[in-house]
Amino acid sequence: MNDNKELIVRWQDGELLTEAEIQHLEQTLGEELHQLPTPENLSSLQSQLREAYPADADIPNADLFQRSLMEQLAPREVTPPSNVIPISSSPKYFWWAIGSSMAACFMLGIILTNLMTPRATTPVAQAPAYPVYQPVIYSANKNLSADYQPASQQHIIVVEGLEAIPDEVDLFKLAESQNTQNEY
Amino acid sequence: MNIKLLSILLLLTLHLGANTLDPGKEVVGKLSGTIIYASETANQAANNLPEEQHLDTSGWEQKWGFKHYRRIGNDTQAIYRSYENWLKPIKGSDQIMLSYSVVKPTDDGYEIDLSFWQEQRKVFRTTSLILEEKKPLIILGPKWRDGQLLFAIELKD
Repeated sequence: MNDNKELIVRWQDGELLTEAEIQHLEQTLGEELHQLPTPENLSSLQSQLREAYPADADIPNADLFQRSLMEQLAPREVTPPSNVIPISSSPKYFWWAIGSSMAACFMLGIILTNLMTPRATTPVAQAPAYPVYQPVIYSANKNLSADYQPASQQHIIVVEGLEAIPDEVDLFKLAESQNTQNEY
Repeated sequence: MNIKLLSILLLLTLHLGANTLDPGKEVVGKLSGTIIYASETANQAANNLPEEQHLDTSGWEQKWGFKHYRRIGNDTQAIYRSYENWLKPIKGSDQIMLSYSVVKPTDDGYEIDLSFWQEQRKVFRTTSLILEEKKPLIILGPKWRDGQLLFAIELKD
């Protein structure tokens, strides 16, 4: 079949075929060969098209066609990945690397100096002997304070700024009356 | 009628059961609170602090000018395992009160949260104070007449 196609194209292009090739086409295609457009028909169609379409007419969208063609034909530029920047080509990074190295050396020097300096022989301030239970104030009175004062035998909390109990309130009587009620 | 009686009995049973089953209500100790009137003058105060008060008043005269002490009232209440309780040494007055709850037991006592109240207003709170037997907490409270009221809190057997 492929042989037939090749022979038909060559025949329609006007190439001269050998007698054996023509016989082969006539035998395989038979009547179909005569129904195909002959080389004469195709050449007359070509001339008719040339006459119908002026040769100096602009090709529609020629610029676009040319640009896309040139883009496809132009060799592609190989660009390195954006995240890989050679230090040698960027002086900014080179100086940054130098600066950070110097800073690292400086910090290392400080650490080594601290490590090699003999410790002070005076003892570190010791934690208080007694725990500190600092009270939390629950009052808007700014003059109110409650301070914990540790002692060995007792805990003491000194509250200052409390409202004084009026003198006329007899706490002794209040306590005694309650005790009396309890006795009864 | 029978249904009402049964319902009441059921509720009572549930209430009693809940109380007996609540481990938080277990009494783990007793806390005593005493209000003491401390003053420089002896017009209303006398040195009548009992021995069991365990107050070390040495140096207090120089520090705060207290020369005479007189006990006004005392209250001893249970320490519950998980519940807050109150000390109100002057029963007829809300001038000074203390609320407390146990944080956890220690070797010789309890770690306790305490809140000091004056006239039903909370004044301050101290947390996780370790109270031990014979090591009381003394709060120097409000001034009254010529002296000052002290609130002494200590564990009891």
